[in-house]
Amino acid sequence: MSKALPKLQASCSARSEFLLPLLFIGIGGVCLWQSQDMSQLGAIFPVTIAIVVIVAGLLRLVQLLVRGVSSNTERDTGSTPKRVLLVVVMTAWALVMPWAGFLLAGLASFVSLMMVAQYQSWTTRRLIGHLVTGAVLVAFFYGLFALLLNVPLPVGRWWT
Amino acid sequence: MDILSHALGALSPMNLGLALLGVAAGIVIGALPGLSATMAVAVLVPVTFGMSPESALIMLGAIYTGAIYGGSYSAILVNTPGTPSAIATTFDGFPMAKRGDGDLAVTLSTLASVVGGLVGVLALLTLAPLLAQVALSFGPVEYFWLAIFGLTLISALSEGSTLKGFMGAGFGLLLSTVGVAVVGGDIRYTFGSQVLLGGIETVSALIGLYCIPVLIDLVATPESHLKVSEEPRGIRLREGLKHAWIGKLNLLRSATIGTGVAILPGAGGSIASLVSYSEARRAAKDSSSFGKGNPQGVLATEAANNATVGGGFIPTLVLGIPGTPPDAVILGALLVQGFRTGPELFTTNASITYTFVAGLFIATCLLLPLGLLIGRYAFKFIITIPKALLVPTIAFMTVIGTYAIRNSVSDVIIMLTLGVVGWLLNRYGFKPSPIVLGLILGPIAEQGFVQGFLMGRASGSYATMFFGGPISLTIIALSILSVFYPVIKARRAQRRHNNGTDDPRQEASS
Repeated sequence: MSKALPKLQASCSARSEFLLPLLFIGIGGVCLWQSQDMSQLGAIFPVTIAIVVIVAGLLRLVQLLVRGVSSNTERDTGSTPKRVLLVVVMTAWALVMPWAGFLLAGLASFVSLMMVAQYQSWTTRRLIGHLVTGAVLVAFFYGLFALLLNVPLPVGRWWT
Repeated sequence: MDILSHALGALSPMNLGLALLGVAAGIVIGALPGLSATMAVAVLVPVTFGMSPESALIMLGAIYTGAIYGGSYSAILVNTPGTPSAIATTFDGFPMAKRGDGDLAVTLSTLASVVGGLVGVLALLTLAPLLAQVALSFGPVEYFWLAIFGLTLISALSEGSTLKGFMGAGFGLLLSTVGVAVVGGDIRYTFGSQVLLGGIETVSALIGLYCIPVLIDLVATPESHLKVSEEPRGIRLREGLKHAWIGKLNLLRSATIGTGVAILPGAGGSIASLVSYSEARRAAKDSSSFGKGNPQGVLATEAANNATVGGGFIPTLVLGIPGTPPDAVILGALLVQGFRTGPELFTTNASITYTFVAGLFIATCLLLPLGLLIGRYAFKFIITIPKALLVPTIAFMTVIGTYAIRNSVSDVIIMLTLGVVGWLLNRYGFKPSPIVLGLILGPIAEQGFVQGFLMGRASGSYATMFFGGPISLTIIALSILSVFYPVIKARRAQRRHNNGTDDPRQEASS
């Protein structure tokens, strides 16, 4: 005698649980479409994998429809602006690095990220302590990579 | 007796000093995300050119041993595997650190790495010529199935849904096809971009998919990312030894699996640690606690990945086929020193070979004191550093680590993009491990698949080519078992539950 299976627990909202398999099916579809321009040898592997991804996505949709899904109400929350700021600062860092050079871009980004990650109020002592530690860390990594490991870090097009 | 006298050559103060230095340097480099064991060995190869062949090989072996172990630090403390072979260490290591047991996890990783390393070295010393023959029986199709086995394992092991694991692994495989095709030379999925021509660099992807989501969540809340114990507990060696004693079978089994997988060129530590993790979970009575901070999970993966050091040298020394990428670099150093690999390494060049094996043994033993010491300070550093310094420091390591691989800003952008995609997918229940492993195993799988396809076309039967060999059939059977085992186990538990014993309802197989 079989009992009804319990509902699946979504990682986020129930709607997103349906959207993500659709996204993967879409990715698989794009890969299949793009493979039309490839040679047989070049296309055979991505085509096979794209079909597997599409089948897995469809099976997940069927599973969700058959068993049902409940939203996850206990999912983690947090500050979205801080998350966005982190990504923006890191992207700007990568884009500015060839122009401003590794040291300047690194120091500026280090300080910016310090500000983004700080929740307590700043005291003069804390600020100076953090800035000095930041400068020492940047110098350490610069020494390790540029001097010891001979990685050619960008000097900066603005200065050459 | 000869072996013993050769091995005593490794005990000179100079060689011991080099082994100590090599292990320490390896641990530090391996612990930094972006600096892999291959890079550690490659960067330091020129340093060894002026040394005697024995000393050079001892130092390189020590760096390699240290780097593979060092990868576990960042896996445990910041959920970012320092090397691909530490991917499975994140499964239980990071949850342990989050609940305040990071010090214990580091100690367990040290103990397991020492045991695994010693088993690998012992196999290298005693079984090398015999085991090397096994590697020769693997053709392209077998490698294809082996890669698929690794992916089915990680999909099934991923917390939550197996189907999500499959979609993630497929996504990783598709990402691995970006750029110039391994066979045929087609330019694929670059959408006209020059940046994507070189493909997606594996280590950049690994840093992005593991490290950036941790950073994004670190800045979002004021709480510390690891729980800090109120009283100082030291390195918790006694507790670690107790866990290791309880898991002695797990340790030995994982080390044996690690050695076995490492003799297959290209398979490497990532598959070895996944297979041993899966076996540890399968054999455990409380398998549901795996992935939530079970110490046996850390023991299994770390024993396996350090066993790959000795195991990987078996095909390298006997056949001249590198078992893992760092072995390829060491093989290059061997050639520079005037060696020829093959059976004569154990006859004509026996003195150097056995000194090297003894050096590996010593380096593995040195892991214990050095690992415990460095691990203690690494853990203290991570938990005491304020978030306002921890976030920029990790961010700095991710950017410089990614840039250093190919001196490319584009790689940094790709790393960040994958990081954001990884964070979003993680939020919706798609774990990063299947994606990363898909990316790592993609080229191996594709090469095996396309070569098998060509051989099948030439012989007139694709089915015989892909499903005809006993090794292929065994790996396929293991893959199917790894996918359906959670379902079978859940059904059995359900039956027991229906008989009134315990609660089996879980979504492990969904």
